[in-house]
Amino acid sequence: MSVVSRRHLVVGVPAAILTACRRRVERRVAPDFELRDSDGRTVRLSDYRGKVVLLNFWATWCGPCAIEIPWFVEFERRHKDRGFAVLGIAMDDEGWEVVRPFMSRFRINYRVLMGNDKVAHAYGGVDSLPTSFLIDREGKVFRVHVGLVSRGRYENELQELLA
Amino acid sequence: MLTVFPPVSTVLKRGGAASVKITLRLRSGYHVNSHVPNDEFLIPLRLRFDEAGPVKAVEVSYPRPEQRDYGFSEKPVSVFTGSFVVTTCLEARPEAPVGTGALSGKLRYQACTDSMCLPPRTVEVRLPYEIR
Repeated sequence: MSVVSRRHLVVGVPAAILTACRRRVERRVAPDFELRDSDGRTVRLSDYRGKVVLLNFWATWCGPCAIEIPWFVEFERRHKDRGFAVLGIAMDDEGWEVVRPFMSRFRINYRVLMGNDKVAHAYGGVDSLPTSFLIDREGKVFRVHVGLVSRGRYENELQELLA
Repeated sequence: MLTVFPPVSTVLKRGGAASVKITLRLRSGYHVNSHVPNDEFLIPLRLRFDEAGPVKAVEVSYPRPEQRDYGFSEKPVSVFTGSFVVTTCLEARPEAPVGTGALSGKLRYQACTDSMCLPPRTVEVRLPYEIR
């Protein structure tokens, strides 16, 4: 009788898929929050359960953030009908007074929420910007990016999540 | 991130003035926006001093900034990097009492690398003086 590797014990499932499944199980739940958007409406992350969410912590004074934002505008436009949403969390101390003009200048087409210390703390501190979290449809964190990364990287990861 | 090196002490006469150099040193790999950033949204470097008291700071002068190209900006960014010197002139009021003291101020800055930014910070700056 041949020795069946432990990795194949589960109904003959190859190791790669088992690893992927394990990775999925190990994903941490993204902390829920309650913040206000630019229209004054209360928004919770849990409102987006069932959608893939790109949660982006940013600020108007952050140069690298300004590079990413047009990408995110394009992602929102291209993928919103596939159950995807970008949520921008602005970390400007000056509040909407500076954020609204920035939103107009960059023609931001996704929801922007005003962040605070509580939500930053919930997400591990957010010591630098940009910091982005890719969240799967089950509300779990798939990937975290601290600092500017390439557009291609986001596209590849979104493809994986939206598939 | 940014270290401030004020002079040890500045000697002033009542009603007199003296130039003071304040060295600022940034950690390698970081830059701060200059006092005249090229974009309205960027937070400028700003050093301000208390105006009450026997000694006041008259005019703060910043060095000429570098115009650097970074991948995150379509146009050059007006920045300071490494070590640079900010200058001010201390003036003792005619009625200032003889003795030692320190002029307090605040330095506000915002630092980034070429891929990420730290939140704006405000730090205290103290300029010791002696009025003779």
